Amino acid sequence: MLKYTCRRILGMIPTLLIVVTFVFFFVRLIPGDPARLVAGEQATLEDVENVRIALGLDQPIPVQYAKYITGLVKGDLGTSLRTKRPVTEEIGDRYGNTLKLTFSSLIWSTIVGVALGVWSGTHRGKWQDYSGMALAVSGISLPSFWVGFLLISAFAVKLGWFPTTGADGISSLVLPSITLGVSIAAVIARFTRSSIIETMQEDYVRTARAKGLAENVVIWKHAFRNSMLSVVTVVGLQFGFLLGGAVITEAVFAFPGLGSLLIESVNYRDYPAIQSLILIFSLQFIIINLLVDVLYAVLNPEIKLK
Amino acid sequence: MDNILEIKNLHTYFYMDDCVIKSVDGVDIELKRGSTLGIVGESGSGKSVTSLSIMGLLIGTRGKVAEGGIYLDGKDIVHISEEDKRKLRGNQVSMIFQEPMTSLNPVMTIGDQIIEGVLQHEQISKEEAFNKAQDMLRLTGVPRVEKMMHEYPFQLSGGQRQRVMIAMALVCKPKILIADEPTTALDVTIQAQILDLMNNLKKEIGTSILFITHDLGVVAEVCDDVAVMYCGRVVEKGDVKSIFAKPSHPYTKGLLASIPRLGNRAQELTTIPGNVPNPKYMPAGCKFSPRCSFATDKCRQQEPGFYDLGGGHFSKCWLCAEKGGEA
Amino acid sequence: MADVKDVDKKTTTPQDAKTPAVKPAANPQAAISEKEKADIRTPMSEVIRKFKKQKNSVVALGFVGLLVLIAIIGYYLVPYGINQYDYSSILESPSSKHLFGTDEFGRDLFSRIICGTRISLAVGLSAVTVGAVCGTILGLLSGYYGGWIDSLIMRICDTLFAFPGIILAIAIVAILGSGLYNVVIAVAVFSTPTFARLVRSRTLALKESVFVQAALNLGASDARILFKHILPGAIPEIIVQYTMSIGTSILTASGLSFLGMGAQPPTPEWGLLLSNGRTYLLTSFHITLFPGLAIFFTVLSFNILGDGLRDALDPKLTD
Repeated sequence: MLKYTCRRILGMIPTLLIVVTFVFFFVRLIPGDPARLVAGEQATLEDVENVRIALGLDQPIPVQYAKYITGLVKGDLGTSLRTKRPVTEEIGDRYGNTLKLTFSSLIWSTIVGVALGVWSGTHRGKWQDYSGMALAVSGISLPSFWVGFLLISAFAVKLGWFPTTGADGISSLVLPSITLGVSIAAVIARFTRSSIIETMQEDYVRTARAKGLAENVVIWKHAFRNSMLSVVTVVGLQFGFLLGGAVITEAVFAFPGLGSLLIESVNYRDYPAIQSLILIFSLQFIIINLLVDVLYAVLNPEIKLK
Repeated sequence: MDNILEIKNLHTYFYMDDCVIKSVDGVDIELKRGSTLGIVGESGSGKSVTSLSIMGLLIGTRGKVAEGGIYLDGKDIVHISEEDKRKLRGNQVSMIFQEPMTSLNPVMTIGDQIIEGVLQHEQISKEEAFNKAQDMLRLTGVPRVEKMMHEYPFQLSGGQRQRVMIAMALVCKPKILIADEPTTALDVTIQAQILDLMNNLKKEIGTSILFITHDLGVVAEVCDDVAVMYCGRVVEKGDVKSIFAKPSHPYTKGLLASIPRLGNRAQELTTIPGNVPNPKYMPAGCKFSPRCSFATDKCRQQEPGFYDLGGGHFSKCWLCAEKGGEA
Repeated sequence: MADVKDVDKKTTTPQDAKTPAVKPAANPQAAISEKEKADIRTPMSEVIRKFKKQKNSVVALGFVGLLVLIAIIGYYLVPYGINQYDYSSILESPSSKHLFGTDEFGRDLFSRIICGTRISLAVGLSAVTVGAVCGTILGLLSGYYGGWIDSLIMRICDTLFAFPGIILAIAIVAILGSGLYNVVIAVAVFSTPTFARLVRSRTLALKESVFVQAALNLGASDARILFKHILPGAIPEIIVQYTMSIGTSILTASGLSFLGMGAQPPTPEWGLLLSNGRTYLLTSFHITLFPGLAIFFTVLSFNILGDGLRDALDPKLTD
């Protein structure tokens, strides 16, 4: 098990390097001159050049690249062109918020999604299936910004139960995490349903029934336990998306998370911030994939024992 | 000898969107206490559906017992609640299936799977259940029982998995064991071992066995009585010796004739011409008549009843009337 | 064991065993075999039959057809222009004069939304079509030739898959600039790997099948095998994925417009219409409600249609 995990970690590093390099060059394709943006509207050409030198943007690209990579190894993600603060601080400020939002969305949507999926799948073709899947297909068809607005309008503005923006305290997490969780719960529900339908048709389920086990036990201990492997994969994927992709919801709720940091950085051509954010996103994704693989091995005895 | 299981005029139908499929359409079978009854037939003859009807495993499918009754030790086991049916399963009536490779849960240990069955039906502690399970597994002759209890199905061979299935089925000492083609998916040598095992356990535990197969060789080896099924009906039944020595129904004769025999000069193998009818388009009259070389007009228009040929040997064929059997 | 032949000789039958069993009219079995012969089920008729059984998919198909119709002729039938300012009737609630109310410039929301249909459908369909075509070609090549082509293509796909779609789209739009054309490119780019992976795995499976081996043995060229033998086998899955991707692409495009990176004013794109809603959330809720409903129902119908197609095309799903 340990060997398996270490091998996977080592395999991550080349992929990371490729992504970082890719992003480094990619980011410099964005039109617009950051030095000018930093220097300001009134700056003279000379001022802009000075700024450019100060920011190290006058160096040839390979030099910039080398500096960036060496900085990375030391844990230095550069300085934000926009705020002049270390990028690590910028990210650090917001990372906690993103984590809180991610977990609160993921937990409720996984529970609801799995329950709905199993309920629909085990009543295939009957009203439970139709209504469950009607909910799910609606869930994946709703634009998240619209859901956010509807929730704000109803619960924050009209009823005043929750704040409309910001990230202080639990109450400001409620509406954004509902917004985010809707489509995730729907995706998980659809996937769980098709997985449980498949596993319920397996021979070992027939054996379980033949032993006289109660239907609940058959569904959860036998069928779902085998579906769990693929459900875990889907949940992991959603987790990865949440950690970086909640851009629209953060915009709707003015939530100070990583997604809105990305937008601000893109608008400002803040190369160091953009590079580091994308690096963080893909690092997260890779780590989550690793976790999913490890979990897979834990759940699947065939992998664990080989 | 009295009958531990009686199936009387069983009709099990599947209610599809555009038609009704009559998988079992009038089956009468008796299983004598302590004996092995073989049910023989091709795919689609309704033999598996009959066993599912006994087990009450039609739930969740579109199948239902439309008519008739099944009596375990004299008690009706069809018109009882789902909860009562569930209590019988694995407890008084057990079943093992054809595909041992896929019939065990891949993520549970062997021990857990057997224990699960025990704890479902008996109010004993986990340790007692563990011991019971281990003892039963030992009886099936698997090597290194203690190790196997903690292993997973993927670590076992097909023959070993089938033994585990047998242990799971017999651990609660059921009155009846239904074996649905248990050796078809196994090598011939393993097949012999499993059949031996079943015979021995039958005597030790006192179970009666309903053995479903299409293999007449196996029938000759293990069964005391035989019932031959075709198109959802029993067309001939009796004890093994009479059926093999004096088959009466043309289908039975055809089945026996199609067994290749060692020593005969290699000629064309005898077959039964034609195909099993499409369940949606069953022929009128005797269901075998389109393929029967002795069919008469009466055969094609009217379905025959059982003729008693003496000694517990029955046959569903108009031709029996000419040979002097009684309907 | 008694010889079976003896038993046969003993039974005498009144009828010659060789007489053919078919006698018209007197034989009820002949009628049945005729019915059986007429009950032919081809794969295509099965697909259509299974699709028709799902009423919600049929309704969805109808709705999609309606949307296409609106997209084509909507511009000519709307009561007001899409940019018709009318300062005397700003922020009005829905009425008989303005079915969906008006916005902050007095423009009729109903007309704007109807005309937005063409935009959303055009963006959705074109983006996914480009992505599907590129992805299919890449997938075929990757699966068929294997080797370094496969590794390269799959590496690229893996990299693209590592990012949430919206992030990728934002990155591309950041480089190319905002505007709907670039949104189409962005969505096409992030749709491609999905199709590539799908087609690749079908290709890998079909490559080993008997008829492909037979065609190879007969000396068929690679192109012929790819397009005449393998591609048709992948078409059902491609169609299903295509339909589902349209929904995603409409959501992404409207999301980008909402963020200000997609369509620019005064284009009546639904996401853009919604972005105004925030300011007037309390006072003029209709500005938020109707564009959102438009997006929701459009995406919903494509998704239901996709589900219906997938269930109808899946050979494993029998009654």
